[in-house]
Amino acid sequence: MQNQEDKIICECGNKTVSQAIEIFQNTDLPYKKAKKLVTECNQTCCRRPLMALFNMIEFGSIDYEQIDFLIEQKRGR
Amino acid sequence: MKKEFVDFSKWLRVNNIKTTLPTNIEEWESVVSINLSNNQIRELPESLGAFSNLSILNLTNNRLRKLPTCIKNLKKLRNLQCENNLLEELPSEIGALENLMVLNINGNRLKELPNEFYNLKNMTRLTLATNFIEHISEKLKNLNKLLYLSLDTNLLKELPDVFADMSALYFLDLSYNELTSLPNSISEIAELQTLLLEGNQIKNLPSLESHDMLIKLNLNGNNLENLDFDISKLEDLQILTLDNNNLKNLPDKICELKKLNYLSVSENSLEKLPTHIGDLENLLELDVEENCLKTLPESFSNLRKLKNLYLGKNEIKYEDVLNIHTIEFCDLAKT
Repeated sequence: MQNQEDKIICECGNKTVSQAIEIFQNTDLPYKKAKKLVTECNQTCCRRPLMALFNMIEFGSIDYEQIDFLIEQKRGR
Repeated sequence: MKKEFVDFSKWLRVNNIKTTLPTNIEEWESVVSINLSNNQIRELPESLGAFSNLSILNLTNNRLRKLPTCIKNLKKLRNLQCENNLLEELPSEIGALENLMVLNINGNRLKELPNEFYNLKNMTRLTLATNFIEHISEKLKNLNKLLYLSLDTNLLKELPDVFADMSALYFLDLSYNELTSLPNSISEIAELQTLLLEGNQIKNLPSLESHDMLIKLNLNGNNLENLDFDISKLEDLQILTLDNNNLKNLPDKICELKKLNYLSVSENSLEKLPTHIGDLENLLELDVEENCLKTLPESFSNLRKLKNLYLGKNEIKYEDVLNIHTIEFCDLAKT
């Protein structure tokens, strides 16, 4: 899991999965605004893993394997 | 007992696969649902075809690169879930699934669809999102029972003009493609309630006036400079998002959308809001962040249901919003 947490989830903002988790956990903003705290841009390239992570945090349980798959899927595009 | 069931049982055991199948193989003949999701499966055995009464097959979150040709034997299959796999192609045999109503292939690596795919005339819900599809055939018109169609996050530059017969379609997601325009027949989808077009390169919209049942319209991230159709005709519209375009103004007609409760126009070039914006009596949330607004119209204080307001990165003064007493959240950051 350590490797999965250290993986970059957003190249624009250069944030790892664990950094994105911390940002999402410390904001009350809706996804649309919260994502910009991670991406620091208006692009949407990392939205699938990022939105999945945001929803998992809201739900209370993070599936790191699923996030990892979505990051790899994004890289393959 | 079918030999194929014994083979399938061995395959499950050897690969340590979790399923909800009955432990007694004798009962497998009548099984209508199999869940093989989240198992890291790389390949399915041909013995799967022995489940001739199967109605639901869930293969979500595996590592499948192809579907077995035996899929053609699953004549009673109505719901096939293959989300988040590594499928690079669909077998032509998929066209034999004449009872298939729900198909989800979201998050795979498909570049094209076999001709036989368009034989699936009973499909009502189709999700092909997040693949690498560059072309959709004119034969899409065969799928005229569709209620829900998601083609988002593909590589489509154009769509076939075949939507005129899709009278029951209520959800259409074409977001994150490379569309510069839309086929005219989109205007003829009578029952459309949700139209998502985010992340394309659309500069000119066709008239959407005929969509009087539309509830949600998402046009974020396109190249729109104006909305030059009578938007007030979308009389059921509740959610309108136009973020990240090149809009300099909003049409006054927008103020006639009495059911609108969510309006988002952030990251545009708005210099003012419509004079009668206060007529949007059911507006709950307004996001106009990152525009060029200096003041708010007088009627703004009539937005009595407004709860969430995003005004940041404009030139508006805090005092201008003090008289809106219903607001629960107001972001004026870096205004």
